[in-house]
Amino acid sequence: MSATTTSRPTRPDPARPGAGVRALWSGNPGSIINRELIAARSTNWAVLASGIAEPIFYLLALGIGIGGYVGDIVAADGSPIPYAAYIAPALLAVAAMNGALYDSTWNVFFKLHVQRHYEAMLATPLGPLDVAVGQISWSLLRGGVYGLAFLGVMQVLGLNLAWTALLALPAILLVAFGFASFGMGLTSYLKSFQQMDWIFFVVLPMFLLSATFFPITVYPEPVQWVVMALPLWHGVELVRGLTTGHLDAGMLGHVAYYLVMAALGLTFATRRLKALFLS
Amino acid sequence: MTLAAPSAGTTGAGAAGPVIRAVDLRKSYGDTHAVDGLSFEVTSGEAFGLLGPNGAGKSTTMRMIGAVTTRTGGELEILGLDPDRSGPDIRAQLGVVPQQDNLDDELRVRENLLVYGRYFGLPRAQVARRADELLEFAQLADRAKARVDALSGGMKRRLTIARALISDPRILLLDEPTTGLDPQARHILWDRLFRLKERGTTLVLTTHHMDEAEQLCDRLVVVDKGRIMAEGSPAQLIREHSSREVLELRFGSDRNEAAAETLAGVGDRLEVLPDRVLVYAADGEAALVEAHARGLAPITSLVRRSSLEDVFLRLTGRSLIE
Amino acid sequence: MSAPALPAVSTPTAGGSGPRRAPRFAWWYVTEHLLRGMRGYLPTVVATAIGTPVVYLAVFGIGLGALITENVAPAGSAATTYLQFVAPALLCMSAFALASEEFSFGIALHLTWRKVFEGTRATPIASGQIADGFVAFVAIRMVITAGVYGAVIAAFGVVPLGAIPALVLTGVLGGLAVSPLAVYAARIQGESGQFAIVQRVIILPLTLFSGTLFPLTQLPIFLQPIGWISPLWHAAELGRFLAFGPSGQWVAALVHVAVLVAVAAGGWIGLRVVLTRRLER
Repeated sequence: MSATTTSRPTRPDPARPGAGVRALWSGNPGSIINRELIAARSTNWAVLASGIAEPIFYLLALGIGIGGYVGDIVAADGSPIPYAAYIAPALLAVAAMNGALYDSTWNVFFKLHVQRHYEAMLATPLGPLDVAVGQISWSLLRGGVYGLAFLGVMQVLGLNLAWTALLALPAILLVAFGFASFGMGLTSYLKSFQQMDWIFFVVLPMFLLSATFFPITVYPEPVQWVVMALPLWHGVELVRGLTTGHLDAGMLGHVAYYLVMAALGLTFATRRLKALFLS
Repeated sequence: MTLAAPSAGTTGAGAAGPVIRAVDLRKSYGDTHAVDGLSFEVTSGEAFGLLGPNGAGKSTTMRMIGAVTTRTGGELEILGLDPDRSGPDIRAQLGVVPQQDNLDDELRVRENLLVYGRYFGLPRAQVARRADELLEFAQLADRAKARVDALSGGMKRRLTIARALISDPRILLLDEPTTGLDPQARHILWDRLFRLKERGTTLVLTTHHMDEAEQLCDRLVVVDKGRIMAEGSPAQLIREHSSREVLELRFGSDRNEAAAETLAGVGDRLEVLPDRVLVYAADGEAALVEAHARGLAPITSLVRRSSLEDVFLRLTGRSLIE
Repeated sequence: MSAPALPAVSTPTAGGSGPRRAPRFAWWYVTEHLLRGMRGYLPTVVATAIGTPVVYLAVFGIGLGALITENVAPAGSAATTYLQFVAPALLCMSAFALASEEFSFGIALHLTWRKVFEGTRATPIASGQIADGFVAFVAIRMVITAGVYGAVIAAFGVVPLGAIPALVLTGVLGGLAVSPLAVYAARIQGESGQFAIVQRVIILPLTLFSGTLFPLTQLPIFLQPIGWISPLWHAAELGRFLAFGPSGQWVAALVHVAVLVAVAAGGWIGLRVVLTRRLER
């Protein structure tokens, strides 16, 4: 039979199996990133720039102010780390977390419920996985730029103690990936602003407690276990190991933690988008 | 052997076949049957309407046609494809205008079109060219760089329609296209949609405004509680289910009921609403004379042509807009 | 057309029995309305009010306190530990943070985004009274937040019990001195990220470089002026003095009070002016 395919060139093969209403993927997450880039063009650039200022203020204030009292922190192998060099990688990880969370919580919530962008996107051939991957990639791009800027500041201030600091950039991208996926997954299940508040109710203590400003050994053991179960501590330890050059095998565990976190977030985000818009 | 119909050479469907075919289409949410056995066909180039009150199942039907909701039962074929198997491929050939605008208000007017076009995987240059044509069509060319939130309601609607057309869709789905717009904006929008119809775009729209259905639809189904109550062209439906004219009488809040008793036998049929009495008659003026002759003194009276509103009232015993 | 004979109905009346002008305490109705609006957020508000002091005291007092062993407090102060040094400042910081949120986002929310104040203005309540009611609302929120903080501090036994009420009032006064921010917020018609910038570039440095976590004198002299203009520095210094002394330095304390009162009053009056302009155009 001469089934001459005269269909329009841009139209995909109708016989492709598993491509029903709930098809996950159309291989076009780039269009989501394209949307974010165009939107960023008309946003207030000062807002983006001010995001970089935030960790720098923390670094200056605490590095100088508290550093003057604390002096050096003793690393696991007994070598001293100047206080500013101790908190800087933590602030770097926190910056990655904050950037990723902001993008994947408030922004996602607005696109989901207020501006209803996802509804519009999923009325096109795009699938929920395109949307999730595109959205998260954008968070990474933004987190990467913030991270690079802060790494530059650290370099200027002499707070990168080893060449492995270069690896801190992929490390914070991983941290951002974990938080962005998880944040999006979580947000997609939330229905009100009030529920959103709870995310940040957890984030603030996590920021303060996760070995950001002092080693967790000052806490009683049960508290230490709680901190070590939370994601930020793994990010702080990973990045700190790289910028100070104190490497150990445990860092692979931190990497694994974030990979699992990202996979879970991505799965739940995709599943939820599917349930909400392609039922 | 085959005709060179405008839809020739497209996916799946036979050239002469319907672009949408629903047989006993059903959608249930638990015990609620939102769509309860709809059967209809839409042919290429037709303007097809689903008329019914809020909650009739119109939007759910539209979502199933839009391949964003799976059906619970029955058959559904869009452009010869089954949405349960070919969702993205169907969505690639549809333009969707949702009930509430979901324009991207972080983007400018023209950017909305560019970004949306990319969602279809279309080349940049093609999208850009089409965006300019569509802005012209939507009478928004001078607003290309404006912020979306600076547009009026009617302009937003036109932009949403332009956006839906960016991929040159084979079917345009419009869910309550003019609800919430002022009369002037509605007429502008109808004019644009009418032009699309003239160009041969297949339109499927839902509405609970009978005047909209009368203006735009070649054929429509009246839907209530997830079922089809009647089907035909607007004129046909009015002819079959209503009289030629309607006399509307208002007697004041508490007196309509009593007046209706006095009116018994005038015209073909009476309908008592909370705020007025409707007398269905071939000759409305004659009915009014008869009402006065029976000693009634309505506060206001009005004779008009029968509309789809009356058809709906007749079929369901309820008003379209409640 | 003859006039329709409408049946007599009891409600609504033809009007005329309502008040003719703004009641004297109308600002309180505004406050009440705003407090009611908080209800949906009550669980997180309560959790945050209780959780924040516990976490902050644990982190800065106990955590950093473990590292900072020398006496940070000024000579003659009764404070001997780092925890005692930071506790009064942290209390003030909580009120400061709350005020900087309400005086920016809070204003925008009610004035621009949800247009609540526009609705209020359509009643006999005057624009100035709306400003008063809002300031009172923020003050009440701060009293609650700082009060919980005070209770937690007292429970930890960090600060003498008798000093707690004065400390809470100091925190509230420090927060009210953020009111000039509200003047700025009320002038903004279309928010496109200005508040995020203000939070990061103004509020954050005012918080961090204000002698809260360490004495201002730790900073190089060119950074110290940030502290001098920060309401939080004045409040924290005042709070420390009220809690721990050193006794006899009343002049410095009165200067702090004077500065805070002047700034708070200026912001308040400014807010009345700007709100009136915005709502009565």
